[in-house]
Amino acid sequence: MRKISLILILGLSLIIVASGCKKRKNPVEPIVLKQFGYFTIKDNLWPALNNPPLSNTFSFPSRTVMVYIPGEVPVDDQGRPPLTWKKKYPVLYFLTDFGQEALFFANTYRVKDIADELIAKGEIQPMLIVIADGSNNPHMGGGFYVNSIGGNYGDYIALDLRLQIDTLFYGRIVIDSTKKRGISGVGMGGYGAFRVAMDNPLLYGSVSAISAPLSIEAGPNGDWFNDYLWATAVQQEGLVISPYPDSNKVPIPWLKTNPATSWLFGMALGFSPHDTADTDSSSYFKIEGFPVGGPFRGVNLPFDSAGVRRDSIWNEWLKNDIKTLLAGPKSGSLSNTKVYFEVGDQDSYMLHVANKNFNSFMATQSYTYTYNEFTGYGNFPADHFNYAFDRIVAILKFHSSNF
Amino acid sequence: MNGLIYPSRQSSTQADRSGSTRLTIKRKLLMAAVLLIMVPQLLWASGMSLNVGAKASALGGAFRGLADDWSAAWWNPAGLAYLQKSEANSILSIIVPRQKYEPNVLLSNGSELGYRNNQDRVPDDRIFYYPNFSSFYKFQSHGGFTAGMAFFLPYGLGSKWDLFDPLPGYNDVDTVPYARIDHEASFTVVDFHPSIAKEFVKGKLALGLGLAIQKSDFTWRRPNFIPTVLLPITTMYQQPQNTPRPYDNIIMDSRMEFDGWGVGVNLGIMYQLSPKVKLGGSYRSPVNIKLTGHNRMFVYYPNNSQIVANDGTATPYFSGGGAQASPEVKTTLKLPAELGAGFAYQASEKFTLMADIAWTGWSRMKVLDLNYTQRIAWVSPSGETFFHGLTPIRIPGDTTANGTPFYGTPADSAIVFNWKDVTRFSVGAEYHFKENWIARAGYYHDPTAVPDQSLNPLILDFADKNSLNFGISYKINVYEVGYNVEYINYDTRQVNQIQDVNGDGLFDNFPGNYSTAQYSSFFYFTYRF
Repeated sequence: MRKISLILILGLSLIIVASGCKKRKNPVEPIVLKQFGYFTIKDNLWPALNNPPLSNTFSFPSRTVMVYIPGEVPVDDQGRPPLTWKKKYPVLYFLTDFGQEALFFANTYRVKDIADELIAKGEIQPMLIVIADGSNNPHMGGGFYVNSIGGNYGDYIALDLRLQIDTLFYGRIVIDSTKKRGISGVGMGGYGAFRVAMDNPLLYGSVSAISAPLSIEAGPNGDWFNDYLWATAVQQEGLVISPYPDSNKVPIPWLKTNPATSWLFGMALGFSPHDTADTDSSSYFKIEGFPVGGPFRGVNLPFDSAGVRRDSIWNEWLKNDIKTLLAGPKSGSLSNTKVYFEVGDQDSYMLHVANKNFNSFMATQSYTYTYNEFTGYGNFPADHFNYAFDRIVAILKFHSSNF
Repeated sequence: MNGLIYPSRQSSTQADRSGSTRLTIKRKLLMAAVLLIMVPQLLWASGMSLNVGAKASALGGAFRGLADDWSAAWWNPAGLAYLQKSEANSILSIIVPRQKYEPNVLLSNGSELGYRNNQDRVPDDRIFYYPNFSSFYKFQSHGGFTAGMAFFLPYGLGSKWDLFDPLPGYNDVDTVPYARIDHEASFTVVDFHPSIAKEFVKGKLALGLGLAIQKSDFTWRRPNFIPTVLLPITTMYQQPQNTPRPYDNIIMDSRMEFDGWGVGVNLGIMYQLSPKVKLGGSYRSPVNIKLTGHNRMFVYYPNNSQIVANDGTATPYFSGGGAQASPEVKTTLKLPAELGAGFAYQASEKFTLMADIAWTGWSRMKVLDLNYTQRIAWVSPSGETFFHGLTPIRIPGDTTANGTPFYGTPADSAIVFNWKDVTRFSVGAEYHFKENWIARAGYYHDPTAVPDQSLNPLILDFADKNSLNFGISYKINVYEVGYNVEYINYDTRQVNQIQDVNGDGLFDNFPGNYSTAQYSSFFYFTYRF
């Protein structure tokens, strides 16, 4: 018995000591495969932006598109894979915000680094990300990606860009399928993503928007146009409408310091360009200098110099309002599309009000959708896009899960 | 003299009344050992404590009532009075902590900071070798007393972790990769411990006194996060709404190294209640260790050429690379007082049971205030001096500070502990199973001193602990050799809420899941003369 006890104790001691000597390792960090940078398409390839009424000097049909290609694809410096390469990828089209050029967006918010890391960790599937902008800097900042006198931006995204990516430039690495094609954007780009997806329901399997004006009209949760856009432009940024015909001019170049005014005219460019046959010029603003030598075109605002709403113009705006479109003429257009939209709860443009309003509307519909409201921490509130990293991650994960 | 370890013939006779009694004791011992092993959640010394002495460790620290070897200098110096002979000792403690931490460090709104969340992380495997030495001499003059010196480590351990990497897009990792070891702590206290003990009432009462002269080395490393709004950028990127994450904070690796000295005392009493029962009690005073060192800070600047192109004033801060500074820092480490009592019961000639209870005042460890004594420039790796700073260094009493440009920053002004007092319970047993051979076993339960608000993976005291100990020793004439092993299991622990207790902008705890165990071996050699 004594020997057994001794052997038992010594044996246990040995096990304990041996347990402590086992080598341990942390999980192996994934190898992050990277291309050396973005690929760009910048030739004059965009017919939809060619020769608009405001001229090519306004629409920039040679604009640059940034393309992210997963690091695992062995491409040459033009982004071309070898002929033996067989694997194809889904594509996410990402539309930038008001006044934001694709190059600026891609480099500032490090989309490539984020995508490389998420792919390496297996948190998203490899995909192409095409970053396009609807900016007309330095003139008016943009026209909200609709077909307008400044260029047919809706067609540029849905037709020209898709054609170049899916079939011409990257046809050998892109899956040409609705389910494997998503569209997203921030701010004006978020509006554009929804609008393009609704206008082309057979083209995109998923749509998402960051801090986008998805509901501009008055509603039970707030009135974004009146309470923010119009009120800020007039009361804080000093927008004045002269009663004298032809004396109002669109502020060009647009100013970052007057965001509400800039958005107001950007929306007017897209939603209510001035009809040259319209004799009512009470809210007409001339776009001076485009085209060079005239006759100059312009936009109509929904209010006249006396502060009276012009219903005919306002109705034009409502015809472009995402919520109004989904409730009416575009009803059911997102039935086969996965939908995600989100906003920061301290959005400088008060878009959390508009998004809450839109969320209330969506809750009454039969769409498959997800709504997310970002909150801040400490002295870092969740504004329009300062949580860029988190929101890009969320967008990439959403689309990846739906590809 | 010591009726417990070296039992008298009388006690031996009592215990040997029947062979069945001996068998029962052995069976009980065996059953107790098996039961202890089967306890599913075993738990250990709180805070940063180490067990002192191989024999005391083998008994689970239930040693105040026995205190019959050199380690009585730490546990209960009165016990030194009962040493059989003068003795010299050496011990090698080999300690292998096996921490595991699954981080879940997120900002209060759920945003990522760069921690490797939801992964089981382990620190670099480390084995700590701690030697102890002592020599005590029994003087026959002045009625007989024992005096000598011990050298041991009552506090220690540390860990090095790779828990963090800046978020993708923060900077150019190819040129300035973030340090692999990003969290680190090392804490060692070496105690030079002269002691004296004397038996005042023969066979009844002894008192002891020790002086703890302690040298401490302390290292503390973790990333700091400096809000970008504090940077002297004059335009848009100073405004939170315009600063895109992950540039909301500038990341700084902060590694502090200190050393210093402190002094304390300990007192002990030993009282022979009956031939079979001995009581012991001791008190250790708190010790303040004045630490001086440097905070080696390295700022990893973000790298974003687009932001630089957009805003020229952001150039120094968004062009990658880094800057460093290493100002002198002073602080005081407040080690706790401890009050303990125990008894030893000689159940038979060969079998002795011990139990202890000890209170440790870890609530002294509230905050390690970091007092910077130097104003110092930031220097880039290439030697360039940076004439722009982050948060200025605050120097108490420096009235010229407001008019003088400050360079450099201490991001954290204090390390928050806010530990709580704990009470530890220990039991042990000793069995002379063969002539010159002794087996020992011990167990203790020790609650953690660390609250959720300051729990971190750097200090091992993750949770309540149970410790299981076995040991064996053999005597050859004037020599004794021994070995014992200790296994400490910690409760698993989960912390959910990130907290900045002192409001300095740096979080003080690390949410996530904690689990760990610790394995120790002790080899000892004693020479009696």
